Amino acid sequence: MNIPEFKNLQNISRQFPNAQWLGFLPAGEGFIIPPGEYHRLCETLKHDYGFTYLSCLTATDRIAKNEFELAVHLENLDKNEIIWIKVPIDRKYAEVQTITDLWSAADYLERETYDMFGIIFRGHQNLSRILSPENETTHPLRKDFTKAHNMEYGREIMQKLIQKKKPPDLSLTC
Amino acid sequence: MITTVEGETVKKIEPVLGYLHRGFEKLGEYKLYKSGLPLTDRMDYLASIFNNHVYSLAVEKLCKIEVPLRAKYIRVLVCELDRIASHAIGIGAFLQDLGNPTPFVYMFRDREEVYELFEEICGARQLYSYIRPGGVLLDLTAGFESRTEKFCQKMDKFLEEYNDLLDNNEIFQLRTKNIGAISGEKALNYSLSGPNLRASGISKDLRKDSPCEIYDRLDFDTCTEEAGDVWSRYKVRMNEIRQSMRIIQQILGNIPGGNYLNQTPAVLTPSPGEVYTSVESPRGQLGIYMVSDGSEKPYRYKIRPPSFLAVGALNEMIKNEKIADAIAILGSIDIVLGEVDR
Repeated sequence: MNIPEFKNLQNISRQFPNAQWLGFLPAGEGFIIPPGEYHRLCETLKHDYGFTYLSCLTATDRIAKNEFELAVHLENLDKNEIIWIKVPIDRKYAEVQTITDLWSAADYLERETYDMFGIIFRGHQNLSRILSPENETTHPLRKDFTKAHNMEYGREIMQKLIQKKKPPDLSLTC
Repeated sequence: MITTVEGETVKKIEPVLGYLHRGFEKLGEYKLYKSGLPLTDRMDYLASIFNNHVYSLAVEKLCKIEVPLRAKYIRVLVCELDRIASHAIGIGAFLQDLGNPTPFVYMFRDREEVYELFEEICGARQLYSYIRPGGVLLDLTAGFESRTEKFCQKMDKFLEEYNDLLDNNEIFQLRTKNIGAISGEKALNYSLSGPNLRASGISKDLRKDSPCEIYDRLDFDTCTEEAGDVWSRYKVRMNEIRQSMRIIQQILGNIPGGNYLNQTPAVLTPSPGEVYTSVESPRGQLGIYMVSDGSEKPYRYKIRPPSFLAVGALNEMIKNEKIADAIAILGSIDIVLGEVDR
């Protein structure tokens, strides 16, 4: 995959003055954009610059900076280019707008990100857990979900299961 | 799949996923870069060399490791062998879903040959962990190339057998033509890739568009079909087996000598950064997004599974079809649940 054309990147950074334009190999070229303009940037890239294919949508937990970083990779299949968009989201009130109106593939990818991190996508039709069970309360891929946390949680479930078993009723002999 | 039906017709389908979720992305954060490679085998367990390949490519880009030329040739040879094996079981399982268990067993006869070839070079019949960052694990054994040549000749005859039995079979055509069609634009919107996308008329192949290793020196065709239905997906996979055999014939006899692995330290510490790479696996575009923070373990890595997005497009394909056709469509998109759930 190639990096996008230089003049297109310049135009985009002019249209979105709040976007930080950072390019570094091996990640290629892309923009860091605040959550308010994220949907508008995706729309512009899709309609005006031909990035019509959604490759990947995921998040990283930057616990040191106290934020989530949503990463979106878009591809322009005609010119064979790839561009990334990163959106820093506040860790305590993690909410961002959905892009399912632009790409239907984002449906499942956003559900997975919600399941693993707890980021709420405003406007998503069916934001429910997809890989974890429905009654799960934690978000596993966060950095403060450690192995010890998981073992404690497992221990609670085991104890509940053991308590449910009743001792055999010896008075009922045939 | 939770299906909402009206009579015999399916109105809505809701796949319920997560029964095979093993938490690989979280586990990978606790393993060193090189130690985490056998974990990736287990995601797409029917074509596991591609998971190793994409992980190794990402680690090599982050740590700036070079791969010797002999290793690149061996990697392509081994990937195409695994592509044949994966398509064999994909088509076999699809036909079994339709109610015909014989091709499933016949395809396992072919897959067994590939298993024996792999057992020679890396000791494992499945879940190879053969492609490592820096090259391949072990060199090819003596006589491997002649045995692969014999396998290709056998596979040629087997493919003609399948074509005779299946292609002109009227019942098969009635059950698969014009079923589960998806148009090219909708397939792009749902981010389908690989044979599912090529069956809808869009001719995109990562091996041609952004060739890794030595794919740019090889001569092969992109197999496309127009209709986007179950029949097209079956035909694309059958044709791709032939193209893979063509690639293997071009490589055999031309593998250069030299080193097969550039030795790297056991504990790799790349500089902070991130990478997104992808390869053309038999199911589509298998991508990896790896983030490193300068320590010896990955900070985060995410695998972009093609089967996950194919399941997302199932609702679109199965709307207004009969229940029996729903099974056929599910078999034709060739998903592996290990990859869907990770």
